[in-house]
Amino acid sequence: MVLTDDDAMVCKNSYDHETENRLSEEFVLRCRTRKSNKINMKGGEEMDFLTGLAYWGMAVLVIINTIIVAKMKINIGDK
Amino acid sequence: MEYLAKNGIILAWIIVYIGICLYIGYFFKKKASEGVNEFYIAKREIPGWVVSLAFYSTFISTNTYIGQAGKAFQTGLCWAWVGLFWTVFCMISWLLLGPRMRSQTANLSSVTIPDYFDYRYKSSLSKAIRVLAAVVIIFATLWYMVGITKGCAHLLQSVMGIPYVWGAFLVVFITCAYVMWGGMYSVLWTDAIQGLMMFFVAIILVMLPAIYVGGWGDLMQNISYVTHVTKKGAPMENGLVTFCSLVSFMYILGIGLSVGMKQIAEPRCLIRFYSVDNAKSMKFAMIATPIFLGISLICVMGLGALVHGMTTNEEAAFLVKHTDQVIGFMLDKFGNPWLSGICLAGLFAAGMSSLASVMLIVGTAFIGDIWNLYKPLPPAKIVTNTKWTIFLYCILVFIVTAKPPAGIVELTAFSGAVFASSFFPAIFGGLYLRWGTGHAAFWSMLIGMISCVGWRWGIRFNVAGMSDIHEIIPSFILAIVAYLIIAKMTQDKVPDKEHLDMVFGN
Repeated sequence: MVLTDDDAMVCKNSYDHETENRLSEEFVLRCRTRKSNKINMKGGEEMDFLTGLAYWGMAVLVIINTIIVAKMKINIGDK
Repeated sequence: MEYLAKNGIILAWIIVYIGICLYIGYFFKKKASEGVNEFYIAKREIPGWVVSLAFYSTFISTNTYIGQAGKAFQTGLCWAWVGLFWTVFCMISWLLLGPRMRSQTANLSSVTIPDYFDYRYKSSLSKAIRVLAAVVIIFATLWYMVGITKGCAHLLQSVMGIPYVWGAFLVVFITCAYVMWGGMYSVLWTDAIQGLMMFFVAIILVMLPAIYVGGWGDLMQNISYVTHVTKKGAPMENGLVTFCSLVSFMYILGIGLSVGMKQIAEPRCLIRFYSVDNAKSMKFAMIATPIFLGISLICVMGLGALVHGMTTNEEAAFLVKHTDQVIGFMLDKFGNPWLSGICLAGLFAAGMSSLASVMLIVGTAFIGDIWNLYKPLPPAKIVTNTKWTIFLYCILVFIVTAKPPAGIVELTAFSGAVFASSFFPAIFGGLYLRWGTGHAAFWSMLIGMISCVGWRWGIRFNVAGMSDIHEIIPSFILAIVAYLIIAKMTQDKVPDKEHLDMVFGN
């Protein structure tokens, strides 16, 4: 099921009981489905992949760094 | 009385925080005054966790918590890519530069970055490199300090109603006081405390918009499609969550590199390596610093975009043109004095920790690397004169901050670009290339600085299509190429084998 931008705007700006009564059952179901998906944040619907990559990337880099340093022998010339 | 009733809690937090900083400065006053090694590099006796937190809190500042976080209001969540670049450079800095820098500077008895160039390259141009490096520090640091002070002053203005000029005065001179008292000891220990505060404040900050709106799901839904407009008046729509729809990747790359590369080139970061006490501490810091930095950046780099979820169209139209005020607005709108007080103290900490570090660097550069070179001073006098230089420089910073020439992000990115392009080739070549020469270091430094300034004021905003290409990109490439070519052309100037064996610890 694909939502248009207009549908999204209606969901976003006019989702109240009065509007619900005016909308068809099918449309309300679509709005609720979309809202539910958003709250669950499943499948990266909110942020596109490349935007999300920056956040995951930082976390992964930190882990990789920890592994690299843990295996390193550090020498700073101290006695 | 009405003012105290409204701001009393925030004021109390700030006073407690400032009191701790001043106490630390006063506590180390006697120890720091014992000599140059003590005042300049804390006698290389600082534990790893302190150095790690100090590096982290020095690198990220109000620039990050106010400037960069606020910038995401204009650019959307993809601004976090800037943070990704910074995390990469943090790793490079600790993995490639940290241990070698600590080892070589100890072998050379170096106490500042400019004197490292002097002792390491040991050529007819060594003194010139040292002076040039000190001049670069004094020049580029001014813009950085102005950017930080501006951010703190805006914050005090928007959250507590303190006039901008008074806010700037308080931030600069309170920091100046504890740096003058305790030198590197107070800088490092206050940085460590400030670092801890900043780490937790970053986590609190990112939660505020979500709490305000009613949860993460609702917040993400609010910002996934907004009716707000961009700086140029175009509708943002789903731009906040779409990669590079509100900002070009070249601009992100420019800010990511120019600010991130400070960690591999800027003296206030590199000087931290000097003070590590042993290899175990170094290893700890190499692991901990990217963790502190990475987690904080995940929290704050997209924060401005999240603030859209709590703004009206009118508020957004104002904030999109004044991104330095976004975080202050968020705290004000959230309206919880306890949380605002904690966050404000943390943001203050972010600014002051960076200011303190660069103040010390400027003082040591002017007295240790310029004055003392031409008119040698007794150690006690070096320390005293360094303190007075710090004070006079703070007056200059305060005057410029009263009418700053640009926004926080641009100011600090420019200073970062100057440092990265002029210092990095000489530092990396000094640490890794036995065939590096003083001539290569000197000319690469000069070419890096001139091309950086030239690109910004001559080309970037005067030639069509160049505005998104930050000065760091052409100037850094030119400086690296210049170092390599000139080093190869001046192989007869390479220091003798005995000197290099001592430097590299062979």
